[in-house]
Amino acid sequence: MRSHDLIIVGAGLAGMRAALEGVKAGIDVAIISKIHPLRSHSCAAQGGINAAIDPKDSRESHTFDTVKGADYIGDEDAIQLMCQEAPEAILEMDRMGTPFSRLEGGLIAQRPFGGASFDRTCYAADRTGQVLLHTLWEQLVKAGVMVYEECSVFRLVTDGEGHVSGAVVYDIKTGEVFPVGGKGILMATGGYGRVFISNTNATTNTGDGMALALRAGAPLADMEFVQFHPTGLLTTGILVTEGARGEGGYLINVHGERFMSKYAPKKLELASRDVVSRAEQTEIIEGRGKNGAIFLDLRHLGAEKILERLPQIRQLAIDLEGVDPIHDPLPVRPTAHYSMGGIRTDKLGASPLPGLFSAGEAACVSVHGANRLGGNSLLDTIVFGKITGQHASRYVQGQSQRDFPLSVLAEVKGRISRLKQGKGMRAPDLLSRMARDLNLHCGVFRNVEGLQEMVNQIPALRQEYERVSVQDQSEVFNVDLVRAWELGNMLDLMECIARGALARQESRGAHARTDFPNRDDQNWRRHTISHWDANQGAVVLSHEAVRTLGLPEYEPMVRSY
Amino acid sequence: MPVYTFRIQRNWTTEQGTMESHDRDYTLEVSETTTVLLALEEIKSRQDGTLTFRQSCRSAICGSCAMKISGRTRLACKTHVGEVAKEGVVSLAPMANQPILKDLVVDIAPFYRKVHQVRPYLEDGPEQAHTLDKSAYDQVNQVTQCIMCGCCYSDCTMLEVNDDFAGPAALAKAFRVVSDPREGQKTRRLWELSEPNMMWSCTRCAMCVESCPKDVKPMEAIVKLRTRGIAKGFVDGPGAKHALAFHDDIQRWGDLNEFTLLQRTVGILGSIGELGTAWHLLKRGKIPSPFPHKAQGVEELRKIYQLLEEHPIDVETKAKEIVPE
Amino acid sequence: MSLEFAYYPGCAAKQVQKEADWAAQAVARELGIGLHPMPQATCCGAVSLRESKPAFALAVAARILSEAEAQGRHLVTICNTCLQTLSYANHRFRTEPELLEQINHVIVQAGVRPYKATILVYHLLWVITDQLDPDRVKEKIRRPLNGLRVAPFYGCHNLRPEEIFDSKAGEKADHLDRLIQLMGGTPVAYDGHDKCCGFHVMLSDATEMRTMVAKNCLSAKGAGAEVLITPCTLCDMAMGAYQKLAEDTVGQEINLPEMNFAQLLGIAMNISTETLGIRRLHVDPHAALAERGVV
Repeated sequence: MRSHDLIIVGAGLAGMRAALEGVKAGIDVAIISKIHPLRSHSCAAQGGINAAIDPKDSRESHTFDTVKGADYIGDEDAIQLMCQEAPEAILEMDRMGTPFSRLEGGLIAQRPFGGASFDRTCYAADRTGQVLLHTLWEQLVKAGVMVYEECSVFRLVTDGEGHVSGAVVYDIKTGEVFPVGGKGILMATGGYGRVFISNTNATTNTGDGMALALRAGAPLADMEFVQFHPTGLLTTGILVTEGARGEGGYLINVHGERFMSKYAPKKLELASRDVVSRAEQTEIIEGRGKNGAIFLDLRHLGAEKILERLPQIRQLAIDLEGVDPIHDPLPVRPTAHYSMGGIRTDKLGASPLPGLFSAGEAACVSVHGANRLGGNSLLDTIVFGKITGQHASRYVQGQSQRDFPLSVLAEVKGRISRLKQGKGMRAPDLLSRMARDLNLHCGVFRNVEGLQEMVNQIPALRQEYERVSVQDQSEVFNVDLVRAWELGNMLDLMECIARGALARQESRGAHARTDFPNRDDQNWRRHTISHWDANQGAVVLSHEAVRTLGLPEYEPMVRSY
Repeated sequence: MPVYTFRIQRNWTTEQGTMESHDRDYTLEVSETTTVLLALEEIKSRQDGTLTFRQSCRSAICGSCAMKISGRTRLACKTHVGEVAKEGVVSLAPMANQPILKDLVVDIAPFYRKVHQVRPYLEDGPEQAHTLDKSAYDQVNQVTQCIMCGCCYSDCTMLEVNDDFAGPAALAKAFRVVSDPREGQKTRRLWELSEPNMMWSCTRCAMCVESCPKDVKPMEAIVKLRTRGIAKGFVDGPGAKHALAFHDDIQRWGDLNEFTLLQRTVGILGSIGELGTAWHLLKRGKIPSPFPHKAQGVEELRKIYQLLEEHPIDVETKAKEIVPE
Repeated sequence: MSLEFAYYPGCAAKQVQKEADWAAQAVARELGIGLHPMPQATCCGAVSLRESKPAFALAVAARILSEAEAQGRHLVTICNTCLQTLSYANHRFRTEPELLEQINHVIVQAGVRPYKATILVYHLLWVITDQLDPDRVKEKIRRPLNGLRVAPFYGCHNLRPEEIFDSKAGEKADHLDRLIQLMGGTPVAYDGHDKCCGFHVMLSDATEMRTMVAKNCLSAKGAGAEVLITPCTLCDMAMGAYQKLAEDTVGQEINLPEMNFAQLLGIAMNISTETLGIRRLHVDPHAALAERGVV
């Protein structure tokens, strides 16, 4: 049986950054990824990465903005650590070769971003994620890290004592199912945006790692907090970076009014994402939108600035929406974008399940709390990829390979053949049904009726899933089968989101309950924890206190922008 | 909405392990501005779950969905059906110059092996510079737009006849490294790139410039690599010699001396090898005169050449010169 | 629009591919297109000069363009590579005024008239298909091709990179197809129509070059082509003069008559085959033309 000291699942920014630490520590580290590393969705992050590198800025200010942006439910020890480590993390990437945009004289340029009190977002035009991803991949090649390419993990395996011992891998290229032993596993599988019908995410963002961890006994945290990005393109949901507003773009309604002046008079378009998304949704609901969208207006920036700073966005708008932002406003709307929740970890990325670690969007460490600030997700991946990679590498050095019960192989193979024999609905149809409902009931605004309706549907959806059918019966590159498998993962996550949202009787950050419009620090300044209850075959909830530093400046205040 | 026919090349492995291939038509009613990827997803979801293709980000940044669309390799996610339909038919096939795995999916390993071969990362060394000027990054920025989708590789006319050619993406990546002020091994890399099947094997057909969905212009990068290789004195290969012969002739005659160009490109021995060709050409009166026509005012060119040798102009990078520390 | 042009045939047309020059002059005369010699023009340097001496290459191009500008005429060529080289330089001069100023500064010191970037660079084929009334061309077709299946081989350097050219280029280019229709022929659609003839690696990668020639010709033949035409003297050399060698390389017979577009146009205009240099072709087109009753 193949085995490694540390298995990293996912080859986006967090996974690759962690792998480099494994190499540095001298352990045997391998990455398993269902797509080639360069296809990872980190590449789609456009706008930038935050760090207090300017002498006039401070790490404390970055920490404060993040604590406030998170609506006081982020874990302050982790936030402080991230903001402390940010400048060095950026400089490291720069040394590795990231072509950051620069000022005359060569210093790294920074742009304003929502919810930040200083222009602290470093960027590379509007393709920051892509250049960071390629830089880390270069280093991965240089270090010769073993990558199981186009291999999906179908089971996270533990020994009799509940310690991680490896993974069951499905090779998409050949259909082969094989075990890989590991003393530790680091989940860096990203988010689950695809559970919403309208989302900015890649089709591969199905939250596999979170679901695998949940089923293996690890807790997930704060799954009800889903960020709706204010500027997803109307027809495809594809992201238009916050950098577009950072560079001075306006949001206007169908009457041409800059409506943000009503909702966030000081910061306007650069208020926090949850604030802007709610403002947009309100405009749309009250009839001042068009075809369910409002508009991002860049025309006043002029062709030259658009071409230099936002070239990719312009091309995307032309390719996908048929609109050239130099000449016309872009129709945009709030679109599911980012999962603040994920696998619960401490500030070093360790989950309560022994041997399981997680970093990046898959994890809930939690630096984003109820609402993530733009430019903090790339930072999260780089900083916690590194920290968790270091920590996990140290951890596995003190471990021996645990027992890998080979019976799980037969279980996984059995599950695959049952899927192939299903006689019910096809996976794409079931996914659309489920994702449409989740958008409707668990979207920008939520209430008890909708959420209850969603939760009530879960048993029926699970039943339907048991019969789901797969047309492709082949072994080689069976995407039909892989998607059906992923749907099972998404069902679990959807249940966590819906149950968490129903339980949380307050409005905080991205979670906006019309029936509970206010934040309730007394009862709800705490994390929602989801567990899988195998006996019930359902998700159950508990709660956990926020890790605070006890500093007066981080005491909850009214969040206005 | 118009109805389109998607003529899709289906490929699969038989039980005997051989590859079978046939075209299958699917019809779909979609608007002209629908992307090919959305159409494919629609066909896979509603008509035929066995149809297989790669995709991920849907926004032309992950590079998964490159395929032959109406004869040219494009990203399915940024190609509108209406732009590529010919009489209502959109033909789809897997990328070329790579082994097929299934339907529209190819084995990307050979492509990446060649990218790995150019050592696609910065290295320490004596040529590393730390003083960074904004303009020093202009060249790097152009090429780091590359997403390694393989469109250029699939459409490369040299790869079609030579499996060993490194290909446009790998060479563009090499250029990305060579033109980065932080790279420490620029000269060594240029020496390696002067080897056979590397930068001098490009035909300069510019197909890669046209196929690239991210405006990387790989051929432009190759041309610039060659300039830098020559400047470093790596002029032993026929490609470099051929390039050098041009500026020699133009100064001397104003025009190319095709008679001696051959000898200077492939050397005396090579020329003898080409004698068969020469005889063949001679029969049609096609051997150039060893004394070509001389243009009027060629001395002007000699003067220009001299002036530029004395006061060089940087017309390619226009970056401030950076001295290694 | 004036039909008087500064004529830049390129080195190949002055030496090994003289017949293309003869044919071009002959059809231009018939169509009332004035081709005026450029006595001072030198070789354009192709991409090779740009590779060895990039600034010198731009200066050489500026000097050539400046001569046309002094004549007050746009420039016309019959070589794709000359077209691309001069269009590339011209595109840069038009979009980078500082660069033009730098280059002018140098050429003026050598006694060359500064270039003001007012010249357009055309292919003779474009002039015929875009600037003449199609009926005027048709009038001159005295021996229509009677449905002859002609493969248009565009080559690379009149198509790519698209943005530098002063006419339709890239996938949208259809000049040869339109010309074939005007002559009464049937354009053949085939895979190799916009691929590389291999000319520029003829010496460095000989086997590869010949394989390219063979693949392109066989692709045309497979699609039913009886004759193949190109707008480029270098493509002519590769696809015509090297066709026999390509056959040896791939071990397969091709035997596809190849000629310059101006030669076939000349035939359709009933210009003497002597004037058009038909005897210098490597694959005799006589049988193919006779079968369709063209000759």
